[in-house]
Amino acid sequence: MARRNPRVGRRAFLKSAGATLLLPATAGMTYASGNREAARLVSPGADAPRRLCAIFVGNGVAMPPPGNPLHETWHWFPHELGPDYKLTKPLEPLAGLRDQFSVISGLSHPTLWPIYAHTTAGYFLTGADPQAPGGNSISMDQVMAEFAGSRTLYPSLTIGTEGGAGDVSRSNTLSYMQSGQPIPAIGGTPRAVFNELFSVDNRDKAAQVRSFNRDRSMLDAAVQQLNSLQSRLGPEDRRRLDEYLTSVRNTETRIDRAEAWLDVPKPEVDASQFQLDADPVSDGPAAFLDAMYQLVHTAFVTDSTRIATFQAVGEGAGAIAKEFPKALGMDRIHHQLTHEYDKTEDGWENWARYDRFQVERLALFLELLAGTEDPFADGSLLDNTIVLYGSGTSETHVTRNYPIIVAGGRNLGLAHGTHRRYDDGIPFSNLLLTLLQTLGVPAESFADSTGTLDLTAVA
Amino acid sequence: MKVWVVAVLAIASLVFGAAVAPIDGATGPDAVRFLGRFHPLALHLPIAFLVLVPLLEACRLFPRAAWLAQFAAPVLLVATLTAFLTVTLGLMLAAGEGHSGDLVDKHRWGGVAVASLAAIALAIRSTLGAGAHSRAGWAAYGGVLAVACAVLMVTAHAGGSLVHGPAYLAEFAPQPIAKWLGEKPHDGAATVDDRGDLPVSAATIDRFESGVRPLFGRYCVKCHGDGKQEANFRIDDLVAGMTSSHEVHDWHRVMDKLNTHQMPPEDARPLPDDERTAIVSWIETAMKEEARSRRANNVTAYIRRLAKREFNHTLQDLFRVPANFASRLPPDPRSEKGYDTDASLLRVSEVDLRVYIDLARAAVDRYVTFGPPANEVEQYFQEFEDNYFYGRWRAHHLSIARAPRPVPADEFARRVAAHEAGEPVYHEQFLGALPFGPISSGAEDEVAGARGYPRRHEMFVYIPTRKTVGEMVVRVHAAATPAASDGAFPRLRLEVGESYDRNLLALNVGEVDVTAPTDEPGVYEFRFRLEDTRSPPNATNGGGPGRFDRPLLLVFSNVARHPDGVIGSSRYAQEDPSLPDAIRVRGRLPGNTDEVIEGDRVATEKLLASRPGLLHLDALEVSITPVASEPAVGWKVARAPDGASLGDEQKIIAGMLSEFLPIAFRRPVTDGEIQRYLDTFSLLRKNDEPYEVAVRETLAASLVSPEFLFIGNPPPEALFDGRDNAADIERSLALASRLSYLVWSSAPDARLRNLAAAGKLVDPRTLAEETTRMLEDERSRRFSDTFVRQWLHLDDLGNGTVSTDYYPEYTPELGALMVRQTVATFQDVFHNDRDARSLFTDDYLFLNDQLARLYGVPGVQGGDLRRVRMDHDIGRAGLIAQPSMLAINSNGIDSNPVKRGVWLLERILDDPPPDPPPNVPSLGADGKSLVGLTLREQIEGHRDKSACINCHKKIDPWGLAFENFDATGAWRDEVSVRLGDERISRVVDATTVLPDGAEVHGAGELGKYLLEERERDVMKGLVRHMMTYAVGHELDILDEQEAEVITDMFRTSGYSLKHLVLAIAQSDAFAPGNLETKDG
Repeated sequence: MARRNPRVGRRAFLKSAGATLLLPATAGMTYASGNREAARLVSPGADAPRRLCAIFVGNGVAMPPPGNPLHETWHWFPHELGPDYKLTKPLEPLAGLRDQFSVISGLSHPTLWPIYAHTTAGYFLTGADPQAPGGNSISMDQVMAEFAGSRTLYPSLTIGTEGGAGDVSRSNTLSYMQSGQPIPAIGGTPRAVFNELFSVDNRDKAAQVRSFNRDRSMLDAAVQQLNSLQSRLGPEDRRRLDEYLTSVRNTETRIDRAEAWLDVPKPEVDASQFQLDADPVSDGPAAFLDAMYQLVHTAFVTDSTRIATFQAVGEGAGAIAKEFPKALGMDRIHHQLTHEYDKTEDGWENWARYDRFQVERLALFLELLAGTEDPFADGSLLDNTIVLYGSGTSETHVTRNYPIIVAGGRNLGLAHGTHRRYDDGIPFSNLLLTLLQTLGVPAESFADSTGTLDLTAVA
Repeated sequence: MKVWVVAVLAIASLVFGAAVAPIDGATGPDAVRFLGRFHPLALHLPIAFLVLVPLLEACRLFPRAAWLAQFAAPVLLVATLTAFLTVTLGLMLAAGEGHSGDLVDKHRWGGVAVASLAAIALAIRSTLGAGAHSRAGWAAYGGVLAVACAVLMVTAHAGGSLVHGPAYLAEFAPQPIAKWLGEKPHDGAATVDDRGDLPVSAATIDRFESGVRPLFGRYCVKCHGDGKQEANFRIDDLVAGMTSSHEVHDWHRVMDKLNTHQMPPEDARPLPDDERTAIVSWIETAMKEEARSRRANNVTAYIRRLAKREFNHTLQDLFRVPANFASRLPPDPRSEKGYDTDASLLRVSEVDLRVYIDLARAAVDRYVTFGPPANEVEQYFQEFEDNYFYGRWRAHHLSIARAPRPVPADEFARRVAAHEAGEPVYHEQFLGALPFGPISSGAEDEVAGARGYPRRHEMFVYIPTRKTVGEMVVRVHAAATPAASDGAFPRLRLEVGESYDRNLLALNVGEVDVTAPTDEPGVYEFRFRLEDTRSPPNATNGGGPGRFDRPLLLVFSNVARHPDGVIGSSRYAQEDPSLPDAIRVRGRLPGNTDEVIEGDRVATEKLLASRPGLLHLDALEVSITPVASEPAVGWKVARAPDGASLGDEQKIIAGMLSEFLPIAFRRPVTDGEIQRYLDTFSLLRKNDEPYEVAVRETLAASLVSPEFLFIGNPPPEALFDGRDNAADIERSLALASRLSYLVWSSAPDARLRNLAAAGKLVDPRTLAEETTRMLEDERSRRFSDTFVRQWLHLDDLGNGTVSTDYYPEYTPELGALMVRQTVATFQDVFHNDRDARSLFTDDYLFLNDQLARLYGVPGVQGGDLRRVRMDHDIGRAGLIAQPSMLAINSNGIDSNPVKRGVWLLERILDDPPPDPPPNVPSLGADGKSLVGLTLREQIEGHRDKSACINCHKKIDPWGLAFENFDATGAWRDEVSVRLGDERISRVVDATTVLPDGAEVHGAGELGKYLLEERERDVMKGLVRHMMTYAVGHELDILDEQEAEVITDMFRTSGYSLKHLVLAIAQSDAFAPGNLETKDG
């Protein structure tokens, strides 16, 4: 089964592997007591954190065609290129952050061109070919997690409005493992995310240690005869068993790592500052989405993880997110909005207003990051965090020209305040690879990437 | 200076042209190709003129001929112009004909260099004028001219090599010259230096270098070499050492093409028979050496991971429960031939391992219980007329409050008896028929979003159980009023799951035709595992987001179809103040506008007027039996008595392990092995784990061990060491597993294990008896089901294969039915031991009402598949023209003769065409209009292109025979094609001339042709496919020789598929490691 894997430089890989079992001393610091000096004291020389948050909103964006009176104002993409572009109405909420983000147009995953949309979420961060027999492949956040995930308690955080994995064509998660298996998103309620990140395991430490020991003894028992087996096998067979053994050893390493974190208390985070039980429908999508974004922010500020993916809007017609527009007082569900835009007079505008609502949520999140001093590095959280926001379709069924916003990461070398357009056919994977490299991952290629993009200058 | 500008511009544009010309192996537009073909004609001009120029210039040295020198400049001008022309034509040729490769590149840039140098020379010459005032100028001119001529030679040689093959000049040249001319040593030869580990012997490789490679150079490389790669294949890249299965595969292809005289083609240099034989026999020898060396090294798929379905069946048999153990495992990769048994692909990654650990723990948690069986059956009885399901979330709590409650056994018996004694009273809502076409199923997909309320053809019943594991039996007392028109019966479906607000997530657990009359209702039973349905969140498993436990939901529906069928909301989902409703609910269901409700009312009246089959529900019995109360399910482990010592516990566990491990490991276990697991148990106990946890963890550990996860592990030596028949035992143990996984997809049973432990399976008669016994067992249906699905690629028929926009009557359910039809056809022939040739005839069809509609066969009622005799020719041909195959090999809208042809070649004749070359242009990419053409005509158009023709003339004729069938496999006489914005109808033409010249009209005749003219090929194809499935890797040459023998045995058996399985089980291919075959 051929899988396209990112090639990570061997030297860099060894370096990170060597660091696997070292605990970042900063992790014990609590949010409440956090200040930059303290962080510096406990982690002299530690690399400044580089963070990633990738956000997916399904079903594309409103793009009223030329000739439509709304084309000029409500078209998601700005009409001008370069630094002098004018924000269109759906993007206006970002006005205050103009020099902290860029709009990107033109990119798409060529592997997804033949498919009939609504099924792009699972491939957004992987760039895999849905028709390839091997299934999906690793997503870019997991590439980063393999490289840098060991520096935090949670190598990565995968959340979503729906939660779970979904199925192949209606993925509820953006994150996929090396093997192409989905990583189920924590979702449904903000509380689930909070519990995962900050709730303290109620079992006493002895019980947790016992559970690790159970895992160990199971693996020990399973492989106890492996040596005598292997000595009697041909080379091909031995290779197959070796692969199995490697999997066993890696799993044991994971157990060791998890146990090592046992003595590091989780950051104390006060649950009452979030609307943890915000229901996306009855409490309204704004409260729900904002709570999810706030939790990502808190995860970053406590250095619980540095990598997050968030499927904010699923693509399925049956997704919870389909109700968002109705909760906002529109008379159609999201799916209808994106399909029936030309059936009613205000179809385009309603859709575009909904897009704007999503961008408003993003803007609040970015402002939150921008307004928080990074406890572990110079600048704001946003300066050290790359936020990737976008959809796998431009209009609902058009799998090209993804609407993309890249924000933050100025300390990592990104330059903003511009609208960049790339030719149709330039793989979205090129952007993913560029971001990976910017985040310090020594990947040479990713999925079907053909090169990188220059995001370091405002052209 | 002007002349320099012109020269530079000309050169620049030529270099630019050469750089951008699409020399990528794909063919270009016809006009380009036509002009390009003048390149071989034109090229003689620049060669002649350019060579002439120095001769003319040289005339200056001879006073009497000096006047000739005045022509040098004009000739150079002509040479330059023709050089530019030639290069341009050459670029067109290469782009148009689809040339590519190093040699082409060399020739291209050589040509560009010659033309450029000529232009430079011309420019210098023109600035020199007549006078000889610039010595340096003349020297430069001479130098450039000389270089141009030299480059010309090299380029011309490259061009000659392209046309005649690289060895053209060297072939008959005297040795020293040949050596100088000869191409650099070949890549393949490089590997020969490292002969230590090659599977092919040094002597054989020497024979290749001396005897075979020169023949390739003479006959093959012209089209399959550096310059041109017809069929995307290069013969000069083949490596004689055969170090990988890839190389073996390629050599195999070469041998086949030569053997069948497909190569060299008619218009190429003929290959004399003795030379052909020399090549073929060399390949055979090398391949045999490779196969033997592989077997000697035991690399022949000796050990492989259990496939997902094998893992599932093994646990089902181990825990004696028909539950699904593997749903969380990802699907297994398929081999090139399409099978999930390929040892080289079945791996255990870290993620897989974690899933295996979870699955093992889940299995022992559920199915290892402690103490003797309890009797904790939970029973419910409900008269349907008392069922209250108010299909609105606002009144959900009412529905839940009024749901049936579990009753004690005596009360249950009393109620059932009382029910039986009385007259049947039916629920007032009859369940009507559905229209044809897709019905949102309420399964776990997007349509669930619109579900959650019962509809016209459905009845919802809540069962407020807290159990999530165990056997559930649902007995429905029901009756039918058959349809007035044709007596069709309703079909009762039961789905089980949960509903939450507007979501319905339920699993179909069964369907049955209801035929009992209303005065005597029948009892219809559904039996399934509760753990395999979707249990709603309740207090015992975490609780849902609602304020209360969500009850388990049973959905009863009538899924029979009728032309006037209705999908509408039931009365119970609509506002109706007369309903027994404790609270008044305002508002309506989403989507229930006045219009919709009125439309529903009218449609329902119409439906009732046409008197369809109706389903009436009388009463419901439900029982749920937890695992601990099922004596025949799972493992019941004795509890350790209070105060028992670790030693006492170990005694209990040792006894348990000695029963459990031999099944899990598929062989007897040694005392040492039991001791090691006992040690694990003791360690867990010492770590303060409770007794139950320690037992379960110990057992789970055995289920993630390589002994469990892999087939073909060498058994511990202790099992045979020192015995007289040690070798027999070792081999028998290996055979037992391989056999049971072949026939049962699961572990050997006790009898087979005992025979293996005694070394008896090496006896061919015992092996035959056992195979026969296993084939008679019900579990052998796992083999027939899996094999036919993988053989015919049936799993490719998924959602979206057929466009429901074009075929509104097609549903995913119908697709699943098509697959079941094909499986039933194969299983009927397999298990009833019919002649396998009947797979390709239509004497009998497996049909139900829906399929009969698709076939246009009248008089078939009911939803169950049954064997129906056909008394006339239906123009199909068994498996190869069943709707499943036709739908899979369509583009969703129209037939796809190419896919159908490839499928037939791959699946039935086992003669797969080569992979298409990269950059295949799509139909119509050459700018030809496709307007108003049938797909058949479009495809015939593409066969005109020489780049495509060689492969497609072997593919398309097969597929065109099926043109009478549309994308759903239904018969058609006309096909609609697009003409502008309109669609027009064209008559279907299913006549086709097969590659051997036979003309057949349609699929029915194709079937006859296959059975009459190609019987052996078809049967050998089946043999080879089944062998590939059985042995777990691509067949090598020794396997193929056996395939021939097995095909003969198959024929002598009257094409009995069971005999075929037996023959394969007894073959050396199936049981490698047999020492006798290593030298054979």
